[in-house]
Amino acid sequence: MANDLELIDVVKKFGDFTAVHGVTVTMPQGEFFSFLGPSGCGKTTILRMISGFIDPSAGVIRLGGRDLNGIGPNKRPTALIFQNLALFPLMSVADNIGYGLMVRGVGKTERRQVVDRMLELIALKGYGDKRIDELSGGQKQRVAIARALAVEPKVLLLDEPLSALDLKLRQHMRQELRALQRRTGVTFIYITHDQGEALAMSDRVAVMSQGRIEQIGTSTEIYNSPQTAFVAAFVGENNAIGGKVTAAEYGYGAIDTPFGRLRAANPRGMKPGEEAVLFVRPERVHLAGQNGANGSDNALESQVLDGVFEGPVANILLANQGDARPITVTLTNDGATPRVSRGERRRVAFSPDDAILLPPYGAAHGAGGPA
Amino acid sequence: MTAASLSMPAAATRPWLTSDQVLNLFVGIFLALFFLYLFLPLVYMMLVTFNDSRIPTLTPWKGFTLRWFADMWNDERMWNSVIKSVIIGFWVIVLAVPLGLAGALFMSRLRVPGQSLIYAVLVSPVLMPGVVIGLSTLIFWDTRFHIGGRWQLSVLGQTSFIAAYCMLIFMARLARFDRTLEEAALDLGATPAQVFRTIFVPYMRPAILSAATLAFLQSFENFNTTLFTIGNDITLTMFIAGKIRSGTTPSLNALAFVMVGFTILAGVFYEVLRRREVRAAEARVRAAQAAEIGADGD
Amino acid sequence: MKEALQRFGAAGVGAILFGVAFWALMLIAGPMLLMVDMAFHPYLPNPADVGGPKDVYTVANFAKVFTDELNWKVFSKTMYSSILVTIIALLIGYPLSFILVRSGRSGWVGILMIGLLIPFWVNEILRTFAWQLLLARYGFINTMLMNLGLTDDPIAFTNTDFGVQVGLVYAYILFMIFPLYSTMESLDPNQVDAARDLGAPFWRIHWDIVIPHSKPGIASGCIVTFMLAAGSYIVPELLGGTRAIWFTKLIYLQFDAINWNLGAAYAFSLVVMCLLFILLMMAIFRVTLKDIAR
Repeated sequence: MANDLELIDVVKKFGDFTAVHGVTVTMPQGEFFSFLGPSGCGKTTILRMISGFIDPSAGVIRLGGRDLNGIGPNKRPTALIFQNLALFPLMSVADNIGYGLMVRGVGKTERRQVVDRMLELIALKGYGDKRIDELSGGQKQRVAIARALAVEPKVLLLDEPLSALDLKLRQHMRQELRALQRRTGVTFIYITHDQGEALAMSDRVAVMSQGRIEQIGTSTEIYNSPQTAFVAAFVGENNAIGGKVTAAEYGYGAIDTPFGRLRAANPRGMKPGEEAVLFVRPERVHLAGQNGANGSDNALESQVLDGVFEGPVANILLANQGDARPITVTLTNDGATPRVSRGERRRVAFSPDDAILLPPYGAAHGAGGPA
Repeated sequence: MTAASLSMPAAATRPWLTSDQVLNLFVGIFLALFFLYLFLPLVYMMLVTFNDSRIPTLTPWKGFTLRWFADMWNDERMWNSVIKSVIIGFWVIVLAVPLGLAGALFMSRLRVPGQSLIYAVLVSPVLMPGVVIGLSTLIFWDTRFHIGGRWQLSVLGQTSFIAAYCMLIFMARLARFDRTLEEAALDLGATPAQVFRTIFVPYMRPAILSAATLAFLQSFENFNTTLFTIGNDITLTMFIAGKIRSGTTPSLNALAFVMVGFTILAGVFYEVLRRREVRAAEARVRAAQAAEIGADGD
Repeated sequence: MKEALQRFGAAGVGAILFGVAFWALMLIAGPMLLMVDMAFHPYLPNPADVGGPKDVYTVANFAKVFTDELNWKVFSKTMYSSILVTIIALLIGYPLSFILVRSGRSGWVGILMIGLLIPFWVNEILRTFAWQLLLARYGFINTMLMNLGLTDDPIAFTNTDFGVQVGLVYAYILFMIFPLYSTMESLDPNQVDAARDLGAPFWRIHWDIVIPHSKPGIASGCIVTFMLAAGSYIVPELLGGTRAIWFTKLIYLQFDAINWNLGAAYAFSLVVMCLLFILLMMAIFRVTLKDIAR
């Protein structure tokens, strides 16, 4: 409540280039919020505007109801974790963590107490006198977080801090970051292009593209109910089948595609005659006959192009003869996976409830797009 | 909460000047003053050339003239001194570039006891006052070989430290040299001499060119070392110094005008070339990417 | 060695060794050692005495630097002025380098960099001549001051230590800026932003982050600037005239008077002073020679 962070119609222009187009979002205190998007989507710009390194061209950024405009980064109650961490190499671990307190004139004894508390928080007790280059990647990560938390920021901003770590460590640090956030209750704003990170850690995620927020929601909402073609295509794997809407009623729609007429949920209320894309997740498509395809399911005639075994799952690529893009079916390796061979003809099926009709990518920003 | 917690300044109104703008203003003023300081003397010196006054000054203005250019052009002593400077510069290139290359190869490719001490000796002239180099060169060659002050001695004195600059240039380039290229050539049957000529020298060519340029420029403008070693010969710097000491006419400004003008042209030329190079490199990268995408797609 | 022989052949290795030997012995070590040796011998006008009983080791030549009042005055003035010039160059060069580094390498900064280089490609004598024209008794600056009514009589800028110091700063400031610029350029900009984000004010960022990182550049910039200033001949010659004499001039006067022994002692004293300054810088900035040479 007291320290909700609000962005209202925030715009950032660099010369002729608009990096952020009117972004509005409220992040309540204590939330783990992520901005997810490909590089160049404007997420770093938003982060630097919140931290105060650059000023918005228009719009307001408020923290606890107060406008942050004109307050420099060194006076803002936000702290930033840099992508490369930016730990000070010529200072010890303790001096790094205590730096923000020292520049505020906090006395030595108090500083040491805070540093010790922080070292305990990040489970690096006794590491205070070490040099930065004596630490491992994960330890550096934690020191950077401790350095930022030591100044008791209201909001912690994280700029893809895990990108330099290897896969195992990255997954471990996800849990650690999440736990740390719960323990401290500080608002975490996390930016990343890694959807796994964003979905695994966040209370809510904002998916961004070309300076605009495409969708804000919980991880489940983002994954299961994408509202734009960009979100559907960018987050997770998705089969996209384009075509023309032929019917729309009771929240469902029908679409004519190279695979024939298919039915899907129609949350955006697309009308007959409009170009649309049907999205269906590979794990929601099954080989017909496998899990008892019922009569209302969409059924597609196709031919197996290839199979890729990945351990826990197997992906099968199928295509209708002709020019259509292949469809991927993901089968769980649960011991009952059917054998398929290349060239074999198979029917695949999916429920209309598992598929969604969305306007093609790019149409969403046109004039009068659906609300 | 500790004293560390951040107090929140009450800010709502936009100040008419943000602190960043004030800072930018100061930075701008600082830069402007600094570059004024850099260029005012040179511009003034060049403008003086056009004043029709026997002493080099802009005030009082006695009318526009180009005669100081003619004066300078017709000065035979100046031309002789230029020729001498060019001859010295040529021989400094001939000596300093191979010596610098030998030093760089010695440091990077041979293993000899006491190598770091020898390296210290080779770079020491860089940190030695020019007058000391000049005096020691004169003492050594005069007392041991009875070669007194003359232009050849200036070549030796200048080479002692210019070769060190060349060596540093070569070492920087050698540090990035991929030795497996030489191994590949040897493996394909090349002799050491062929490897040197076909692999090593082409790789080092840019460094050799810049070392030669630097050697010539350093030699051309050297004063301190030359002062002690030149004897009765006169280089361009000696000529200019003599003219200033004896009270010069603006014909010296005419010479300065030409030299500064050349320098500015060279600087602009260099920057244009550099930018073109950068743009060409970017275009190559883009073209390569486009080709890759094209090959990937349909 | 075997590898080198394989790569360059015996002739190649021989050429390398010969070149290094000639350079190190005939152009550097030989002259330097002989000069030092000479500095410890008395000047003997009669060549017959050289190598005779009068040709003994002595420190009398060095004593002259410190006992002769004029010599000592010139020597200490040269040192003091060179330190002053170094400090002024640092005070101007530090903010300038920082500004240039923070501005990146695009567009107008590239032009500024070229603008920075051009004056230093111009012959040192001509640059000093330009200042002589500005500072002269009826030169540009005095004329301006008198026209503005700031002074009635021309101020003596030339033939003074002040004039020499102005000229020295102008002549050598680039040698301060270059090492500063290159060390500052290697500083991750995020370091500065991180300190700022943690609440550090402007001066603390420099004191805690930029200066510690730039120490090797500051040290080598100071060393080079000091040595160039202390070893400068032409700037004091043209701007100091006969009144503001530099130590290098004393060396030249001995050389001119054929008292090479005394000249050698003076030259060696200058070298020793420069070495002491290097050690001082290394102690102040706690850097090693390796850091500086980077």
